[in-house]
This record gives sequence, structure tokens and C-alpha cells, in this order.
Amino acid sequence: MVATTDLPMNSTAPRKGRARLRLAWLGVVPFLAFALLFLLAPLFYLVIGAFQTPEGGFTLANMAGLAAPNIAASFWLSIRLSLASAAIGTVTGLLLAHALILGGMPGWMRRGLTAFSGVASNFAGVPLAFAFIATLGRLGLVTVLFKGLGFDLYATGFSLFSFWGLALTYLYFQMPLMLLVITPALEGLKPEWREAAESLGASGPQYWRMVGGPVLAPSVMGCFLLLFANAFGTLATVIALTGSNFSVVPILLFQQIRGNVLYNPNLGYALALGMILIMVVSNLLYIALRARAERWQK
Amino acid sequence: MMVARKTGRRIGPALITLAAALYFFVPLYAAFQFSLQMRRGEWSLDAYRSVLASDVFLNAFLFSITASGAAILCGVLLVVPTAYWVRLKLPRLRPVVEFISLLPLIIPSVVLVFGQIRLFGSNSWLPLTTTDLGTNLLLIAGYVVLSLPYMFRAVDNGMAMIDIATLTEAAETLGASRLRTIVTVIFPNIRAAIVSGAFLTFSICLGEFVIASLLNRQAFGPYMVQLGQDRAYEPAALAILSFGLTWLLMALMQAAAQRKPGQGWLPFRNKAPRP
Amino acid sequence: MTFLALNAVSKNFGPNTVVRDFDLAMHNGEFISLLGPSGCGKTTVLRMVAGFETPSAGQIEIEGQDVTGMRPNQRRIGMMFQSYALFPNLTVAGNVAFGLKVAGLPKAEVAARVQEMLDMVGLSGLGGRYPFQLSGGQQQRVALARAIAPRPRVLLLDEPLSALDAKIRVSLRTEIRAIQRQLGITTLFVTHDQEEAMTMSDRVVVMSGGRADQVGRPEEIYNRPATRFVAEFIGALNLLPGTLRDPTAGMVETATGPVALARPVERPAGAAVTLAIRPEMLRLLAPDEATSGHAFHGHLLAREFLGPIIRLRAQLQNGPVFSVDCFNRDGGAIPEIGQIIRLALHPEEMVLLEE
Ligand SMILES: Nc1ncnc2c1ncn2[C@@H]1O[C@H](COP(=O)(O)OP(=O)(O)OP(=O)(O)O)[C@@H](O)[C@H]1O
Ligand SMILES: [Mg+2]
Repeated sequence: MVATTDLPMNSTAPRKGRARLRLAWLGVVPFLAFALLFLLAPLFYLVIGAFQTPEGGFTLANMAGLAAPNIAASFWLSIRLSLASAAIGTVTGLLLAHALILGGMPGWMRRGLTAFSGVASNFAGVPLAFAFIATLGRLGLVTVLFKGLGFDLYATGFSLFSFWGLALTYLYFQMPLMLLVITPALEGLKPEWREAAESLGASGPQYWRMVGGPVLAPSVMGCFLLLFANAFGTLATVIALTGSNFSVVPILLFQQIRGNVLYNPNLGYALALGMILIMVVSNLLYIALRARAERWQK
Repeated sequence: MMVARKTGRRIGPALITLAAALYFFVPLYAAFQFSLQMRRGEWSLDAYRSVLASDVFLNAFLFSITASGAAILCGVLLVVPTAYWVRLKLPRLRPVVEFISLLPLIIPSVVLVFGQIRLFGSNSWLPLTTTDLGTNLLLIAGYVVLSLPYMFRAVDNGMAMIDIATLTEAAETLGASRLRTIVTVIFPNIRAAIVSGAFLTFSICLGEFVIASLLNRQAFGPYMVQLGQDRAYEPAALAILSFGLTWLLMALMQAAAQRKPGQGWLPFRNKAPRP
Repeated sequence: MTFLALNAVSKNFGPNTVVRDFDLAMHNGEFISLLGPSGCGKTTVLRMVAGFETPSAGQIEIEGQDVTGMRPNQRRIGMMFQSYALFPNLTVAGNVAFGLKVAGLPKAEVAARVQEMLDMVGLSGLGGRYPFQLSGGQQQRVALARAIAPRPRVLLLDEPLSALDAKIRVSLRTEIRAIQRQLGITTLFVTHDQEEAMTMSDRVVVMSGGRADQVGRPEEIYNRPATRFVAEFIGALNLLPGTLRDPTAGMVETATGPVALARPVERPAGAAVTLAIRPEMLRLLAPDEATSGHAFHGHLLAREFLGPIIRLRAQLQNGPVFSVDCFNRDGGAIPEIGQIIRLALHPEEMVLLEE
């Protein structure tokens, strides 16, 4: 009697637990459904489309189309611009963060620039382009000021609407972004490490080479990647600055969606997939590098 | 000698800080000066007047505010329960949810909206883009996706700070129901985090260009680009206005994030004694 | 010969003087502890010796050489921190090798010295681990090995044991002391744990408010505290205020009656004085036992069992409450609470404190 009542008790307990776990899953259904519908499915749709003919058959022609000279040039331009912008942003942002956090700047200066960075890193897009046109455009304040000093900026080949002009403009949100995201890592550098190194006879550069640099490296790489992605996807600023004349990949895709330029709609999917692939590859690269740089962490 | 070394070490940082401050300040000043030059030969606020008096501006601005507000509402309703639930019941799912939330940081918005337009296009299974309402919904969905990383980060950090699991257990041992726990214990404690996420969302969506433009919405972003092509001085005025607005939003966000429990939302309504 | 000297060293942070007129002369190979309450300036003294802070006044000498303005990385000093401060990106061996590599030693020599150091601190097999894979005690051993590997002239330790649990703290302090003796490194040790200071040091410096109150061997500090602060800070203490009646005979009038110090006191008659008595110096008298020293009368208030000793709280007649320590083995002889008791004391074990 005892045995028979015990048995079903024992077998329902885990079943109940499992049922509760299944119920717990219900709690994330809205989020997952939303993400599936508006984030994952659209991406999936593009990926499939990149390998389809307009009639729905399988083809590699779209992806091969990415090798067309103008498209390949666009990708190359985008990658170079994003790399340059991310590199400048990383270096300047790191320098600024170092100056503010470890350089003994007064607290108000640090708070002020950090607050400003919160604003500036969100001040991308169209208004930023306007501000830079007013600064470095043909009639911009700085251009005119330089001209007054006998230095014709545009005669040197510089243009706000060119590669370096864009890089300089991007810097306005890249450097603050770098400052914001690298600050925790810099604050994580314990002063005792520096002091221990010094007491062991190390100079400043030696400390940075042997301890500070390696400790910061994973964070810096992560920030660089973030800045790269940030620059790679930037579209509004480019359009507001150059119209659609500067053919980075996002612009190409933008025009394709608008229904001009490209004759084959499925080539658009391939363009999108190309952008996704670049992001995937750079992320994988980052993960691999980070694993190497972080072997001393948990 | 030591003193010399200390001051020597400060000159470099001071120069860097100064250069950065200059770089940040000059474009703002330039835009400001330019925006005052609409009337020939004298300073005036004509550019601002011209912008603010335009119906197109007003409609576009109102539209964007509405869309951003809707995106905030949807984002909060989507993210808060999920973040809470995952922390409490499904910690194993955390990496997945986190990955999904951070994905929009990596995927360019133009790619995202392209996929959405095709997936919900005129001859698809759910043709959202054929009606005005549907397109607006798609716009809001796009904005929610775009702000997902920021909203999730803010809310999740807020929850990490108050140790949600222990708080929930404490409330439950005191006999509170789950709903009561959420409403009276969890929500008040993460309100600041939610508000800060909301302001971030707002500042991202208000001037957003790509999605709005590709969905043919008369929003603030496309309006600004159009204005930039048509006019000379008004764009500079808009840049200044936008910057001021972004600054205001970030200040509000900061204030919300730093608000202590018991403190009123306005400085003069403080109930808690100052430390 | 003086190996490390601090001469009238002071340090101000803005308007606050945190170290004032600090003098210390250390012999070669000596182990000295800086002991004092939190915020009294111990760390600041240490950091000035290391070179991380510059004295506002005064001078620091090592081996007769003025190092006051010298940069920390030129001083040849080893330092151990409370938070271990191991370089997280380097292995145990890498950490220990750091100072040797910086000094430009050849590879083979570095490897040999690292091995020697790891053997010395008992971590021979762990050279390839990263700091996060070690326990706190092991990390602090690595920190010790790292600090002594380049053969520093002076070893500075800032509360290196206070982040560890009690057992490891005791075993590691013995080890640190043994290694220090073996290498003969002049060592300055900061702690706020008096037991640590007493057991480890050749001499102890008791600090308060940025000043050295007393410098002396542990026994001197404990038995002959120079100031009221030192007496109160170290060990438990019973205080009995009174008035000096007869300086030559050492008679003090207190609330519980006259007490004879049985030695002359160099203070004027009528001066207010305080008698300090350690709890373990008092002895509980059996009911009919006679004593040649002084006897206090009172009754028993409470008893606390502390393991090897039992601490009694006794209310003196018309006087304060005294603590009295008895050995555990005397436990059977301890009276019931509320009973009348007598406490015996040798007059020379009473310390007269200056106000
Ligand atoms: N860099 C500094 N700037 C200003 N004040 C300081 C600085 N460093 C220390 N102080 C002050 O100097 C006093 C002594 O500090 P110190 O760290 O030497 O104390 P300590 O004896 O080591 O205390 P603890 O036992 O808590 O470590 C403290 O009041 C402290 O606030
Ligand atoms: Mg200290």
C-alpha cells in the first residue's frame, strides 16, 4: 500500500518541475517572438534572397555580382573609411580618457567632458553634418578663418565631402563614444599595479608595455570593433553631407532600396549579406583576438 | 625634482584635454554663428524663426515625437518583463537574450529596414507597408529594434544593481504575490533605469533618418535632410536646436539615473534629507 | 649603523598634516612595525619611503644616501600591498620575474632566481598559473616573492595580511618573518593588528595622529607604555584615576583608598595621575590568603570565558570596574557572581601614566 502510493508521487514531482520550467519559458515568448519577427526573420530573408534568382531558383550570381568593380570599390571604401575612423577614434578617445582619468585633471573637467561625450556620442546623423558644413564647408568658419590667414584649406586637396572630411566628422561621435566605453576599463587599472611596477624598477613606458597595455588590450579591441561597426553603418551623416555622391556601401544599398541604380533587385540582398558578413567576420576576428589577449582571465 | 616631475606629467594631459575640448566646441560655435547670419550684415534669429514657424517642421517634429514615444512604450513593455524574467527564472537563456539585444549595434539599420520592407512588403504574408497604419507600426517596430541594445543595457544594469533575485525572494517570504512584488518592489527600484533607457531611445529615434526615409514617413530626420538640400542657414539653426535637445534629454537621463529613492522628481520636492 | 633613516619627516595633504616630525632610525636587517589606528598616517609614512609621496618637510636616507627626491623606480625597494596587486596578465613566474627583467638580467639568471624565489615561498609547482587561479594566501606569497626577487635594500609591507583569513594570517606571518631573517632585509611593516606587530617585530612604532608616540621593543611598549594613548591602544587596561599625595613614597589617593607605588614619583604633590594596570597582573586572592603587595576589595560582576583565560569583571569598592584575567585551569577556584573578592597586585606592575 505504502509502495503504491509512493510511486506516483515520485514520478509526478519531476514532471511538475518540468511543467513549471516549460511555463517559465512562456515569460520570454513575447520578446523572442518580437525579435524573430522584426530582427531575425528580416535578416534571414535577406540571406536567403542573396542566393535566389528573382524567380526563386538558387543562384550564386548575386554574390558574384559583389565583385563588380563599382560594388567592390564601394566595399573597399567603406572598410577603409570605417577602419580609419575607428582607429582615429580609438586612439584619440584613449588619449583623452587617459588624460582625464590618469592624468590628474581636475574633477569638474572630467565630469564636464564625460557629460558632453554622452551628448556628442548621440549627436550623430543629420544635425552633425550641418554643424560640420558650418565649420569646414567651403564657407565654413574654420575654412574662412584659415583663408584669412593665407591658408587655403581646399587648395590642399582637402574637402569635407571626401574621405578624410568624413573621417573627421565621424570623429565627433567616435571619440566621445570611445571615451565613454573605455572609461570603466581605465578605471579598472589599479594604481597599485603601477606602484608595484615602479617599486620593482620599471619606468612608465615599461609599465605600459608589460602590464597596462596587455590588461587594457581586450577592452580596447572591443571598443575598436564597436567604433568600426558604428562607422560602417553610418548613413544619415553621409547623405546629409554629400547627398548620395559618396558611394559607401550603405548609400549603395539605400539607393537600391529606393529603386534606382541597380537593375537586379536580388543584388540588393547580396549587398546586405555582404555587410552582414563583414560584421560577422570582424566579430569573429575580435573574439579570437580577445580569447588570446584574455587567457589570464576567468 | 619630484614637483617638477608631477607638473611635467600634467602638461601632456592638459594639452590633450584642451585640444579635445576645442574640437568639440568649434563646430558648435560655427553652427551657432552661421545660424545667426541669415539677415545680411547683422546678427539675427531669423533662421530659428523661419524653422519654428514652418508647418512642415512642426508636423514632422510632432510625428517623430509620437513615434519615439510609442517606441519607448513598446520597448519598455518588451524589455522590462523579459529582463526580469530571465534574471529570475531562466538565467541559462541570458546569453541568448543579451546577444539578440546587442545585435542591432552590429547590424546596420539600413540592412535591417531593407529586410523588414521585403518581409512585410506588398505581396508578402503580412503586408504592413501597404497601409499607413501598417507602415507606422513597422516604423515603431524598427525603432524598438534600433534602441533595443540601449534599453536592454539600461534595464539589465538597473536590475543587476539591486539584486533582483534576492529582493524577489525577500518579498515572497514576506507573503507578497508575484504581481505585488513586481509592482511594489521591483518596478520602483528600477524606475530610474527605465527612465534613463527611455531618454536614450528618444534621442536615438527623434532624428532618425534611414528607417523613416525608406518607409516614406514625413518624420523629423528626412525633413532635416530635405532642408539641408534646400536652405543654407536653417540647417545650422536646426543643428543647434538638435544639440540643445539632445543635451536636455541626456541631462534628464542623468538626473533620472542618479535619483535616489525617496527623492522627488523635481529638486524642490525632495522628501529625503540630503546626505 | 643606521640603514634607513627618516629625519623630521612631515606630510601635508592640502591643509591637513597627516604625518608630523616623524623620526625613525632602522638598523640593517631590522624588522620594524608601524602600529596605530586607522588614518594615523602609517601608509603615508610607508609611501614616502617608497617614493610614491613626497615629504612636505624632512629627509629620508637609505644607506647614508639622501633619497628624498629620488623616483620610486630608482630606490631599489620592495613593496607588498594589502590587495596583493599582482599583475593579472602575467603568470606567477612572470610576476616574480618582472623586476629582474626590468633590471635587464640575462634570461637564464632570471629563470634561476624565479625558481629560487618560488621555492622559498613554497610555490615551486605553480609558476605557470595566473593570479586568478590562486588563493589569497598564495597570491600574497607570490607578491612576497616578486618583491624580494630583485634583492631590494628595503622591504615595505602595507597590511599584507589583513585581507587573509585568520589561520593563513598566522602561518604567513611566521613565514614572512623567517624569510626576512634569512635574507636579512631591512623591513618596515604596517599593521593595525597589535598581535601581528608584537609577534613579528624587533621594534614597534606606535603612531597616533601622524606622530610616533613610542618606539621600542614589543615588551617595552607593552609593559612600559610611554603615553596614555599607547597604554590604551595596546592590550586591555584598567585605569584608576587619583591624586599624588606623597611623591617620595609614591603614595596615590584613589576612590578605592590609598595605593602605594613603593617608588618615588617625579611629580609635585597634589598632581592628578592615572594608574594603569593590565588585567593579567591582578591576581584573585583566596578568602584567607595574605598578600605582601597591594589588595583591592570589590565584588564580582561577570565572567567571560575566552578559552585559555577567563576574564572577570570586578566592581571595586567605591571605585571603577576592573578586568581581571585568570587562567582557565584556575576555573574551579573562581567565586560566584556577586561574591566579595580581593585582587592582589605588585606595586611595581602599576604604570603611572602622564596626562
Ligand atoms: N592622497 C591623499 N590626499 C589627501 N589625504 C590623504 C591622502 N592619502 C591619505 N590621506 C589622509 O591622510 C591620513 C592618513 O592616511 P593613511 O593612509 O596614511 O592612514 P593609515 O594609518 O594607513 O590608515 P589605515 O589603517 O586605515 O590604512 C588620512 O586621514 C587620509 O585621509
Ligand atoms: Mg593604510
